[in-house]
Amino acid sequence: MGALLKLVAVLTILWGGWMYFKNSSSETELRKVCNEFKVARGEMEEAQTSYDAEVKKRDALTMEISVLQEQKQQLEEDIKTKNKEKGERAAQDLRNRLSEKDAREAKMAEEKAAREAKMEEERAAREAERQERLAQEEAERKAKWEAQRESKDLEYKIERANKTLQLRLECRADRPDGVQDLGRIDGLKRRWSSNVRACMKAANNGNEKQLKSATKALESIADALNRPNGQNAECLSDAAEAIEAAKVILKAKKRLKELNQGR
Amino acid sequence: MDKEKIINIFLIVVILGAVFGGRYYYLQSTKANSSIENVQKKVEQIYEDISELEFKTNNLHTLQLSAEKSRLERQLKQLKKQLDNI
Repeated sequence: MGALLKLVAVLTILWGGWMYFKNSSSETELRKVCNEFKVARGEMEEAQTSYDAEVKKRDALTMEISVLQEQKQQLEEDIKTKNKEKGERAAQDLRNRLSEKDAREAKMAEEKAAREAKMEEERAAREAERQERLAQEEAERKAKWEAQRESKDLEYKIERANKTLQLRLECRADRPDGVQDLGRIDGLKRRWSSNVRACMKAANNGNEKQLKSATKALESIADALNRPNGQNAECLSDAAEAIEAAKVILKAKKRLKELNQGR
Repeated sequence: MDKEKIINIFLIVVILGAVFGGRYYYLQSTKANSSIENVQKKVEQIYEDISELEFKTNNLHTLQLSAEKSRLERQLKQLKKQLDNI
């Protein structure tokens, strides 16, 4: 009995000790697990804090992003508006410049037309002047030619008249009358020649006074030759012819002098 | 009393003490084990929750939002410059 009790005691002590040991290790394990739990809880709190912070951050970022997007939209609209205004201003400027340009071009066209009209006027005036000058030159040439022709004509008349006077130098009276003697006739004939020469000289010198007295003398000589019976009637016509020729020469010389002075 | 009786009584007391003590520690140990299991479950749960939180945190995409914010800020700067130049 005693030994059994001792055995039981030993066994129970051993069992008790084993239980104690198990309990101790369980408690150690429990403490360890509790520490793990604390750590895990700490990590959980950290994770939660971090998550909460991230959520706040996300919310803040989302709000900021929406504000920024609004601002961006506003800026884009402002840019659009400003570009539109700039475009309208540019179009208005262009329209103003075009209308100014049109006005300038119209003014320039007016001035050009006025200048061209003036030039045309001047050209027409110059042309008229030239035509006038040409007409004048033509008239002068014609006048000159006319004058030359007239001069030639007058010279021809003078020549012919001089020839007539040359012919009439010799008196044709040869029939004495019954009353007068030949001496008178000769004297008259000599006087006739000298008077015809005087007429020629006076006519060719343009001496009207001298010619008048010479022609008068010639007429009286012709008349004297023809008296009393009219027997030398041809002397009258000769005298008239000579006087006429002398007058022609005088007139022609006067005219020639005029023409020469006119040149 | 005999010496043997005293020893026996002492042994019985020791036995009883060992039994009760053992039983106490056994119960404690069982309780502790049960607590260990609970706590371990809780720790596992916590770590699962932590993973979930980390996953949710990643899904918040704050990095992308920051990048978007920076991009918008740069765009705003450019637009302001553009507006000033008009």
